[in-house]
Amino acid sequence: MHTMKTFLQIFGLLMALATAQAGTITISSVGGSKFATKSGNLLPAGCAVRVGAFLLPEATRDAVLTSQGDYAWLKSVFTPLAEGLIGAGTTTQMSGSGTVLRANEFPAEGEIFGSIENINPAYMPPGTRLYVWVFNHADPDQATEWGLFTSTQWVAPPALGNTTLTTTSVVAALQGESVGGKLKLIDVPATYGNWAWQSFSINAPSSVTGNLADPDGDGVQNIAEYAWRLNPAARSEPRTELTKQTGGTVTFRYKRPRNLPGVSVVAECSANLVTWQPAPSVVTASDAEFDTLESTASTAAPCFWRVRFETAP
Amino acid sequence: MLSVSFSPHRQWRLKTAIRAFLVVWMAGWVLGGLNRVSAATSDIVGFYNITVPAGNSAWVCGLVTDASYEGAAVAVSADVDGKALVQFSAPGWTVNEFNLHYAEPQTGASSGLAINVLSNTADTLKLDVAPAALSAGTVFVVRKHTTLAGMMPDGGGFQAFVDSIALHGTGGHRTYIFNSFTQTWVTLSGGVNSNNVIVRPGEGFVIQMVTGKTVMLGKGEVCHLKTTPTKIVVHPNVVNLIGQMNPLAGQSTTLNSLGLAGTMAAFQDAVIPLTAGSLSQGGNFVSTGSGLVNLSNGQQGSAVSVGAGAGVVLTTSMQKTVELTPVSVTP
Repeated sequence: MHTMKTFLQIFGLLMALATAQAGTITISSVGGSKFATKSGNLLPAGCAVRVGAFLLPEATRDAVLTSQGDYAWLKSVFTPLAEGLIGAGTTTQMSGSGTVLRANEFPAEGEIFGSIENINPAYMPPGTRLYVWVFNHADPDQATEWGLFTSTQWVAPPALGNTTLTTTSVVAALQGESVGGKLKLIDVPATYGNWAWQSFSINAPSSVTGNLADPDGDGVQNIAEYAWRLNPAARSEPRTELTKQTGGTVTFRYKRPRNLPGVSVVAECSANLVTWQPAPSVVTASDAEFDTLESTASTAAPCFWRVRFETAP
Repeated sequence: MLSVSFSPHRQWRLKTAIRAFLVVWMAGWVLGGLNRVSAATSDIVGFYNITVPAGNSAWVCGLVTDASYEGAAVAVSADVDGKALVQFSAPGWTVNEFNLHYAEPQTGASSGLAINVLSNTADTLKLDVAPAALSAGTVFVVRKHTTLAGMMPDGGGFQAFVDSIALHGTGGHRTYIFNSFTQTWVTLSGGVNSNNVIVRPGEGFVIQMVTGKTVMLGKGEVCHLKTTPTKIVVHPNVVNLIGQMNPLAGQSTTLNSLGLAGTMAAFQDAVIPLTAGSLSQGGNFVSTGSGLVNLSNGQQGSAVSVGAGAGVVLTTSMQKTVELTPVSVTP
């Protein structure tokens, strides 16, 4: 009996301490910049808004967040808040499975307004720089545009305090644009990971999404499907061609993507199928998506070609 | 209890050092995560040449197609007709996608033997062999067969309707020519489409040309090295044309380097080298167990040159499986 009483006293004290230490965040774009799609239209109602911090070294954090747009990787270093509006800092939040804030539900078009209460300082230490990650879809996993914003004034609240994340202050658009009083989203960056996420699903196993996987069994691995802009869920032919020319030469023709980060594409050649070296190639044609390159060899000696795909940072 | 204390200044230096270490470690972790590189390569395309003289000469296609699948069998059983059913763990196949394919065990008594795939389900191959020859746990490589069209998709340099290629087997020999109008290989007699005629690994063929030419092989899908031993089934009273895989290893090899001696019946089976152009026979070389020797004059097989990609004849008194040694390539 005495033990039970003592336990309840301690439990009550702990609960009181937890409540007393909890902080609150209010996010409000009222009176400040409004959120818009990349084309400038105010963000539709119901779009997802994630608030949280990124577990990255402070000195290089914003630079990394500006240059790296891979969703899976960003999620892996993201500490979310308000994924369940009550009980911030719980395991539910950490798993990312609660209710996210919604754009434009209240009070007006293009606005983001909401609050996050009971933030556990052990989960989000006071002073931690906060980021607002806005999507053009109710389900972040299905978004085609996003924006990642922060401000020097956006920090986690002190233990008993409140912080307001307002867009009336100077907001840095790490991924997006701040122009004409609007915080505009951008296309989800073209990375291999984002391609895999959008081609399969965010929950697909690595045996399907891995860059060396070949889920459609066509002999073209995912990284090559990405580079050659093929459908990884349907059998495709590689974008190569071998033609015998008049005059004793053979030409190997292949495609190299234009403006596609995350992958390098080079042709290699070999006389013995064991040692390979870069195949001298020239660009013979270009369009919006690809350069067409050709590598030519004499028919007098054995020559084999292949295209090498490397993931690039 | 062990207790350690530092002066405030030392504590500050220690904290600074730890903080610096953590920053460097975190930066390394972040950049390492971002910079991790992996690579893939496309299928290989290309060619190699053989210089074919006027007349008749024996050759081998020294390359194979790319592996369509490689994995260990989880179960082997017999189908109602006695053929082997070899099951794999969730390979994700399409039913009957392995038309014109063979499965090659990588271990066990049948290792190196190209066994025809009769059909397949989503996870099981039906092979043209009795199950007793196979076992669960054996790793199989599945490849598409080399075919005439796969080996020489545009005729390979054959003079259409004039030059020919002949395959020998238990049913005699079959001769094919290239039809330049349809860009297909056809039977010499009847003109039947023969693009899918199979040329098994290590199996030779005879090319007949009116004038000598350079023939380009492997320009289609047959562009991959086989670096493991190759087993070939040979038959009595048949022209068993065989030859070394990988003609890219050099200009020539020797009879002994074919590696046949170990699987030939000593002083019974014989290897007969052929002269390109005339197909004249260069003696009967029998196995001594460790090498080959010419029965008529004692010439060692190690002294007999075999041109790169050239075929030889193996004679035997009974059906058996012989093994060709893989040729290593010196870069």
